[in-house]
Amino acid sequence: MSKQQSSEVQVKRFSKAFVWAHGINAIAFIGLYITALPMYTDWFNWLYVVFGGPENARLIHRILAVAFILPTFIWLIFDHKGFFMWLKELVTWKKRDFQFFSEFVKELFGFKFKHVRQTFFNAGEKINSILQIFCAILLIGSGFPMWFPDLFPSALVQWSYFLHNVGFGLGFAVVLGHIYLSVIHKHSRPGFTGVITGKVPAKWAKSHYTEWYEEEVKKGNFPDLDDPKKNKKKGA
Amino acid sequence: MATEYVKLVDVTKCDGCRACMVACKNWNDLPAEPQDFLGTMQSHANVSADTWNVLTFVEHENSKGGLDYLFRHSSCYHCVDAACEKVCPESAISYTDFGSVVIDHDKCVGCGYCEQNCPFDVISLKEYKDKNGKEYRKANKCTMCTDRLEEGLQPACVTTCHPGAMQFGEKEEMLQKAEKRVSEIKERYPNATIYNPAGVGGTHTIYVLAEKPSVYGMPENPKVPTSAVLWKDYAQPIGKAMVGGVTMALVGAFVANKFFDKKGKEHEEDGGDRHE
Amino acid sequence: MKKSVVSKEYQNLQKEIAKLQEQWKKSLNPDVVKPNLDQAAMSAGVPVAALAAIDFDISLFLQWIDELSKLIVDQHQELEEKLGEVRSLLNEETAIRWIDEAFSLNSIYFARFAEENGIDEWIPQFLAENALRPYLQLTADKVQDVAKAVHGAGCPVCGEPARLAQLEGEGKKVIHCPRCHAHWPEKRIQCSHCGNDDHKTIQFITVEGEASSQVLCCEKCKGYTKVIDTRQFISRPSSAILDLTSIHLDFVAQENGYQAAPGNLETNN
Repeated sequence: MSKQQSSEVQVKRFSKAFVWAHGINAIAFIGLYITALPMYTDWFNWLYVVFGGPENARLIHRILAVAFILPTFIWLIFDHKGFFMWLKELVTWKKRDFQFFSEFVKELFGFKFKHVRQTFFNAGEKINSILQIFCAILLIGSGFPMWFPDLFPSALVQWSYFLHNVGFGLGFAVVLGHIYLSVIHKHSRPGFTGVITGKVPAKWAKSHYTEWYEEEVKKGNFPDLDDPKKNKKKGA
Repeated sequence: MATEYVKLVDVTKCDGCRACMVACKNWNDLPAEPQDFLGTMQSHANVSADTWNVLTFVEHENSKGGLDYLFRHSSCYHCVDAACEKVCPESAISYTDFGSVVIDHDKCVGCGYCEQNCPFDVISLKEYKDKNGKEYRKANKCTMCTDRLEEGLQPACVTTCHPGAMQFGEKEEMLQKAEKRVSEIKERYPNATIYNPAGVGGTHTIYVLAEKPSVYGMPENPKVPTSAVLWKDYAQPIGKAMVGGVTMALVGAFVANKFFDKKGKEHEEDGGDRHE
Repeated sequence: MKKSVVSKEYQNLQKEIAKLQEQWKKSLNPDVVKPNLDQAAMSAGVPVAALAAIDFDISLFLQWIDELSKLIVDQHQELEEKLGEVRSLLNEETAIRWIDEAFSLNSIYFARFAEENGIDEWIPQFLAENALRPYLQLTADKVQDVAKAVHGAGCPVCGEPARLAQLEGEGKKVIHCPRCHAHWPEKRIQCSHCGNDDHKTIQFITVEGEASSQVLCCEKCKGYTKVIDTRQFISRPSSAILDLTSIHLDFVAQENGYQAAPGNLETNN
């Protein structure tokens, strides 16, 4: 019964700009990783064959590098409100954010847990964002000297290799966690469809991002799920 | 295990004839690289992918106020601890039993990491075109004529050197000769020194220099870049471990979830719906 | 050299033999060789050793053959019996005969000796020749500076046909005798057999991929000489070893119709 209801009532969570930005970012990121893997470890040398030689892998890596830089600007230009809200959230840390983690570990491994009230982004997503921003800066910043070594002093180019490598390892770990929690973990799936369609089930949103949901209810944007009348009306 | 050899270059015996450059081109089948006049006797500014050794000419005012015209055969140093070998992501660069550092073109992907990390700037990428017109790159540099060493022959540059400014032989013997030579020329060249930099673990091309290395445009204290050490000895292995660790944790989480899912089927009504 | 067609084992055996010979030579009193430097004979091409009075120590000669046999057996145990058999046939008288016949490279004698006694053909001359060489090498040491080579006569010291030259210094060609280690200079473009120095009738055969050697071939007498630029070598082997490791050049030259000792019987050890 509850399942039916939650899939019926959808609320808008992400703007079009965010959905596009996130999508491009994701595809570029994965592509960049795959084209970089044979350089990172010999296990993946067969990927050179897939790409038609190291030259092609290098070319694809550079095209995707540009694609990787774009999303920030897409989001900033077409949804600056959402972008700045994100930035603001990233620097806002309260008690509930820290409580989140102890419950998160339980949820991750499938133990019983209770939801800690979260705003638009939960503490885990904030950590993910911060780490990804950090990795992106590392990777993009070091990528330029590697791409155009003639324009930079050689010491900077040499350090770039190191930083790019650090970014690769860190970025991989972070993204692996991010993808797992969104795509594979059973409680997060609505989040994954949400980032593609922009919409998520109201019930899921309310339980996962209670504070944000209630604020939107107050503004009159979202249905109040606790009001049985209203709930029925919307659902019907 | 072959003997470890060293090429000893005594620049004080060099007369700048450049036969070594010709012998190198000849033996290694390297195309000519025509250059504009550079304003000096020196033909090329630096070694390149097609010119593995260049004779450098330096005009230097010595401590007595006289002018010295300094010649030097410059090519790959064949470091004992070679930065190019360290940073190569494809293990395309390796040490031979003779001590020379060589590139395997079958493995080289033309990334240029070696070029950017060489403390001596003696390895470079060359552009090739395959028969379909597709361009690709490979790193190139002096091989110490490893193909000759395998035949029991000395490097081409050494055999052609008519004033005997270059010698090739067992490492210890060459080092002794270098020391003896430095003591012989100290009077005329007070700054005379052996160039066998410790920062790269020593080299297999060792110089007897009349002046300080910097006078010849050589780095005084070359070393494997710290960034390369952190990158290859720390970041890379830690990164691999981290990637592996996160993967294992998530696999663990996935399995645990499946496990608790089965166990907790009957509690679904009170717990499950809250976060579905 | 990696390229040699001769197996590493055989090269090593020869190197060990060369080492032994060097020791034996050093153990000899230089006075046992009294060269007779007859200018007329020398100009006529008679090898110095042929006229020299050499005081052979027969028991020492036999002892060397024992040492040599031991060295061979160390590497080839299966030869122990055969070599022991040969040794049992040797007395003072045969030893003297062996020295004489080895000196004159009389392979016919040794072949017959082997046949008569039912032993492998290679063994008698191999032992005799190698035990004789220290005396020849000592002679070469003594007369190196005065012996004069005559074209067509081979080595001025021991009479071995010329077939091996090395380049030295600025490119000087020096003929080396692989048998007694005597050496003498020769014009770069000149046949060591007939003395022909007409560049139009002198050819060089080179083997692709071999940067340091060529074979000088004379169209007039059909003789050849291996010319090896050992200046390019990291370490220089002795003439005997160099002659051995470059044996493929002999094959190449002979297959092309040239001979090491043109006009003579094939005489080789």
